[in-house]
Amino acid sequence: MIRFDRVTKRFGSDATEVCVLEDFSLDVPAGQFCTLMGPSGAGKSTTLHLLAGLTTPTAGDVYLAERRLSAMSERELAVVRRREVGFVFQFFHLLAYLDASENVALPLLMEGLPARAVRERVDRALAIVDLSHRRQHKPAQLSGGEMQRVAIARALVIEPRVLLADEPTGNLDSSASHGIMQLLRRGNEQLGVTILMVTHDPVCASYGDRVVRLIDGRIVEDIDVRDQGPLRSHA
Amino acid sequence: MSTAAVQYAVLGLISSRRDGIHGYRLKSEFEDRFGDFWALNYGQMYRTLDRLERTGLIAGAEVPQVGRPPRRVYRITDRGRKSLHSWLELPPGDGPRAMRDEVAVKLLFRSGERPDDLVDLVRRQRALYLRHLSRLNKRRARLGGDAPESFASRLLLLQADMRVRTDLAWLEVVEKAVLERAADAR
Repeated sequence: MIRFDRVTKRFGSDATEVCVLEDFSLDVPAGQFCTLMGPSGAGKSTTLHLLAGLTTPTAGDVYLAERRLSAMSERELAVVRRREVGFVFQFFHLLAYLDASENVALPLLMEGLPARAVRERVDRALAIVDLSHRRQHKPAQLSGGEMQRVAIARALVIEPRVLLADEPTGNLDSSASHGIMQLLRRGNEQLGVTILMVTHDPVCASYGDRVVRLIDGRIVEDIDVRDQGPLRSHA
Repeated sequence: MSTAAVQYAVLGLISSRRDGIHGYRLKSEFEDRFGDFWALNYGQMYRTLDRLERTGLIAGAEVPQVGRPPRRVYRITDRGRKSLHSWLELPPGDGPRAMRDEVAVKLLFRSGERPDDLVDLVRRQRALYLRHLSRLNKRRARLGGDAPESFASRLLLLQADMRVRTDLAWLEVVEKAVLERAADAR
């Protein structure tokens, strides 16, 4: 579903050049929940920006659903972003003057869906994130965890094939973080959404199927988190 | 978990079963309540039961079964109940958690080895911790309701989270130090 094929990404030029990703290859099959971890500057967020088409590789190719992003026009990319990729960010990015249901409806309104279909899909998305009872609350009336739930509903309402999450719990306390991660897990298992998530938090990373660690733009570890042997005796 | 703590964990589980409980069921209840934190194999469970019975804190009785050998069902005694109560009232005797995990000991004896081998040791341990966290997440997702057990389990899971997080942070420091030392040596 997601593939990076020998991707290198450099920023700046000559003396100021920084190589953020170097010969980076990663294959995330459909339905997998993959998390990227690593220190600041390791290249984690750049991978999400490349997938979202917000930046282009210096070398190599990025594929989304077997389509090479560099072979697509700006217009085609915009359609992919709108219809197939959901985004969740650390700072929620909700519009303050819209209530929860209006924020969730935004991507559908941009697609020009009829009002009834919009209402049904918004109801469904808010139910998935357990926020049906807060549909008319503005962001300022919601807790941080609830705002992130609204943002997840907004990402899921388009029924995306892929969800990209950049530090989705970076602004939340431990209890709200677990709630958000359980929600992403549910979205992955019940809706079959492929997830690529960047996090610095190992507890959040452990909700995925797989943890890929990056250091200086290279993969140093690729861990199957769900491969569980028996607990060893500590008694 | 100290031997005493294991004994009282088992005694506590037996005390909650008025009609008694057999070893096999006790093992699965122990796993259910404490399995994310402490593993106890059958041998350890039966040794603990034997010790509790010898000291008169529980009483075992053979119960016949149709077509199977009889099994031993355990009940707490008055003496056991008093002992459990006194133990629960005692302030905990544990000091800070002992540095006893394998990776710390191995690091002590392998610090002179090739950096790649040390990094490999750290990474294996990291994978183990992440899988452990994944197991805790599943347990957390299963917890529901406001039962006292759920309340206590949530707090224990939080403690486990915090400990593993600290262990993982320490592994990061070890890995960074090993890589930096190797870079300095080049």
